[in-house]
Amino acid sequence: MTAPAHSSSSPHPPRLAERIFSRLFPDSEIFTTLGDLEEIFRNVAVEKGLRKARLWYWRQLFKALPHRLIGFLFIDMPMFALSLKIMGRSLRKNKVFSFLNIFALTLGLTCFLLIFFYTRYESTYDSFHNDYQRIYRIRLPDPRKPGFSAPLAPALESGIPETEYAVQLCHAFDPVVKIENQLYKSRGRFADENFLKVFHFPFRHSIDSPLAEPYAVVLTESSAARFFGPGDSIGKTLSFIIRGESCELTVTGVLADLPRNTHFDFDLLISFPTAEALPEFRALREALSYRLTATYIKLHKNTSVRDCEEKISGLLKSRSSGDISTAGIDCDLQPVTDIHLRPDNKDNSAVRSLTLYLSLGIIILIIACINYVNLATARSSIRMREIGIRKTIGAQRRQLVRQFMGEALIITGISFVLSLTLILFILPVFNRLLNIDIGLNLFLENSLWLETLGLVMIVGMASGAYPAVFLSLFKPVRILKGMALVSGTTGFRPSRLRSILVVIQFAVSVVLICVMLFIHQQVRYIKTMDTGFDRSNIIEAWAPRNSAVVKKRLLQSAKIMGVTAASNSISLSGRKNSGEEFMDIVTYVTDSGSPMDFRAHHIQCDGAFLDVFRIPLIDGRNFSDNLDESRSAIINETLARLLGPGSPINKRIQVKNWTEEEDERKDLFIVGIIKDFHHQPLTQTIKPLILTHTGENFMTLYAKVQGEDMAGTLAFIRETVLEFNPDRILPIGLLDERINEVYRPEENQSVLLLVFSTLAVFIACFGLFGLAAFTAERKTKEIGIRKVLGAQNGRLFLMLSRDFGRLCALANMIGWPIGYYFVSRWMANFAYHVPVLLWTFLLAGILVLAAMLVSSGTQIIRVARINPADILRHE
Amino acid sequence: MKFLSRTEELILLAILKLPDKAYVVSIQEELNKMTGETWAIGALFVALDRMSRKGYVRSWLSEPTPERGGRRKRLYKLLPAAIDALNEVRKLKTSIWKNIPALSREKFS
Repeated sequence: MTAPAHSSSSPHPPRLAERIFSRLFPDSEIFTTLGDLEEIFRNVAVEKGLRKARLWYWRQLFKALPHRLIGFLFIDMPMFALSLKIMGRSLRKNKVFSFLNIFALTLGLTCFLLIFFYTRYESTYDSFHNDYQRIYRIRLPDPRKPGFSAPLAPALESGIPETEYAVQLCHAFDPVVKIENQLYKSRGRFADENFLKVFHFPFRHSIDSPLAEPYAVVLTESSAARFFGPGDSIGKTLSFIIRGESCELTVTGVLADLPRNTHFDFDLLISFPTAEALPEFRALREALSYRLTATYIKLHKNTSVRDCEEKISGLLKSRSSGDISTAGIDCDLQPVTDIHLRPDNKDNSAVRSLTLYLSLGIIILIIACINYVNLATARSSIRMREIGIRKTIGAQRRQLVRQFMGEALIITGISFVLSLTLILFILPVFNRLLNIDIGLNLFLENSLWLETLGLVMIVGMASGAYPAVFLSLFKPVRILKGMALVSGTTGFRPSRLRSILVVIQFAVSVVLICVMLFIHQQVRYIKTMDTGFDRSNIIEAWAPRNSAVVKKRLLQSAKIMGVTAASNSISLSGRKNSGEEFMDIVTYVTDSGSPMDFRAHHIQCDGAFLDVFRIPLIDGRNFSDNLDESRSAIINETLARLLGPGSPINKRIQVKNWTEEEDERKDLFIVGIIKDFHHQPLTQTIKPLILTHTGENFMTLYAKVQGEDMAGTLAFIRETVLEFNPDRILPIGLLDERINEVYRPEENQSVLLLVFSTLAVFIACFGLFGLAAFTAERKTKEIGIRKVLGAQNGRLFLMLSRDFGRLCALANMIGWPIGYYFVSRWMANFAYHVPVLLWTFLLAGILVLAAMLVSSGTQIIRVARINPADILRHE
Repeated sequence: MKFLSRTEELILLAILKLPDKAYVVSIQEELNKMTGETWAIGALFVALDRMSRKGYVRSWLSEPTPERGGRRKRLYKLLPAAIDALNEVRKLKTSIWKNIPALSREKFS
């Protein structure tokens, strides 16, 4: 029998979801339905992976919920109408409670829904193309191998039968557009003729096949307006400058502006034949093809991705020259919808932060649900009599459960409607803040509203379940005798449950505040940490041409204290390009024994580099611009340590540049050792670095300037650079700002956490406020008696707030270790981080305690100051 | 007489193509193949339920199958009323389309 083996090896749908399904639909039909779902689940698992399949299964459950629950509520129409009426009354009777309930739920739901929409939006990039499921980007693991430089797309169309279209999009170094001597920045790309057939970017106007001929350009609506002003721009010409070469282009089409939710970011598309017609660019494109050109493929219907990947790998192998190992050139096809969140193979950070946001949303929602449970059980005494009478005249427990669940669902429903209205107002601001474009149409598409409704109902049920069960348990005789409130009679201790829930709420708040405080500290720390080089008042400017002349000219100005030129940015362009594969191989030839290989970053610079950045030499000498330094190298301390004991000065090393494909090594002699500085973001430890000297071929200029009149100096530098680099638009700015830009994600996370933790604490305080009001009300009589017997207001206050203080202490005890865990995990992203100090935890605790005292204090004071005569005169 | 909706028509045709093995999953696969789009499973459940109440299809339970955790399938087959309805739709469509010349976009741009 093969059946058991089969079922044990293949994935099983989430058991919990299955159980909920069979509970929700308790007819016999559910078993066949579950079977169907399981089969599809397996298909999805095979096609898209287990994780996606599990998600799919849960989504089916959410979609089925609203239908079921509405049936559950309306099954008993007259009874339902009655309970609606009663609910309305109880809501009105207790305005403060109802307000607290609805407001906290609305806040929680709004928060959650915004995050939910946002994650949904982020994970559905590029899904507006027709047949987007069949469009892939070809991803090559090590594109530096030879054989990849020739364009891939034509070979795919002729060699792989699964291909419907293969198109390439070639980066063009953000070329400059010149119209009547006016320069414009552009994000131009070269695109194949079929590009706009694969990707759905609708035309406003166009001629037939606009990208077929050379020297044709397609603009987006807004770039057309920018270049030519309003009116029809088809047939107009613009000149276009790329790396010094220029050509005239004719506008053959105008696209509607790109939607935000696509990974493409061009604003003009140049026909691919144009790129072939530019000799210099062509050479560059062929040399760097792997980095400039993205190849997209659209497969025919019902083709296997895996087969196709194998065929493409085979094609690549046959194209690459025989002597190179073909081991690592398996390609894979990345779905076009995946590109935004996973721009390259390793980088998973976008997905991680989405998960983080979503879990924050869920946490806030849970806090809001807890509020409902707390307030509803606390209010139970008010509804005692109603329940007692209902039970004596024959209400069954099921009916009562249904009534209270219904109430919870309706209150969640009201909050849901309110939060949707709120979202309508918040969305424009939200979109502007995050630079995205979420509309309510997202909500209507893909039956997302059904899932959302399902989710809202789960929230309603989660909040309603306990109060419903608890309230319906009361024994009518006891209630009507007025003794049900004595704890222990029913076996339940609702007050203890309430305490536990409050502790959970505030423990979560403590965790959030801790994490927020640490992230805030860390961001400030990395921004102010000594990076080992002087970065104040340094202006970074790109000057790809004539850098020697520009440098001389800049030095003549009195405002500029020093200028140095380097091959690339001192911060090595942030987090990208900092991996192993972007490091040179340094071979150390020892006097005895075999040579040793190291990986090191490499910066080419001139003699002023160390002076401008004030990097101290430890040993040896600096480069001199007057000597022939073509065989000299300066290394950093880290590399010197790796090379081993004994002074490495005047020792020989061989360097192989990472951009070179051939195994070409250059002999260099070490002339100096510098103190380590952070040439990478602080997420990394200091890596080995070598500096070499070259007179020419610099990309970046650094000018150390005087502090005053920064704007004027910037303008002066820009003018000078542009004078020798005509027809270019070059980035220029303060180095400090450029470096801090790298930590933007952390800064955003810190702001986001600030908002969320504040909201979480706020919502939790709402619940506490309600609870305090309730406790105070229950204890008025006790307080009256105590006062008559001579208790002071202050002592009474202490007595009443002691309970909350205890809860707060407990919340901190639980919150701190959890907070510590998350903080240390987050900190592990950084090689350098602030010490995790106790006072931050204490601060978080004090903040939460203060929030608790403020929210409960007003109620307690009100009761403590009451005139005992008012309370006691009735008895 | 009310005509079949497009969804109903496609589902009935899918069942027609799958004699003795039409159940929700195979019907969905067939529809995906026929139209090139992904059909939601929930929509099929609803439509099949409605059509069995209208008397277009009859359903019965199969023997338990191992690949679905030992659960039965609900298999569907067409009833004469469905054949009539399909023929009706076909007659209607062919008679309408017969008199319409080939359409081209140019005239409408």
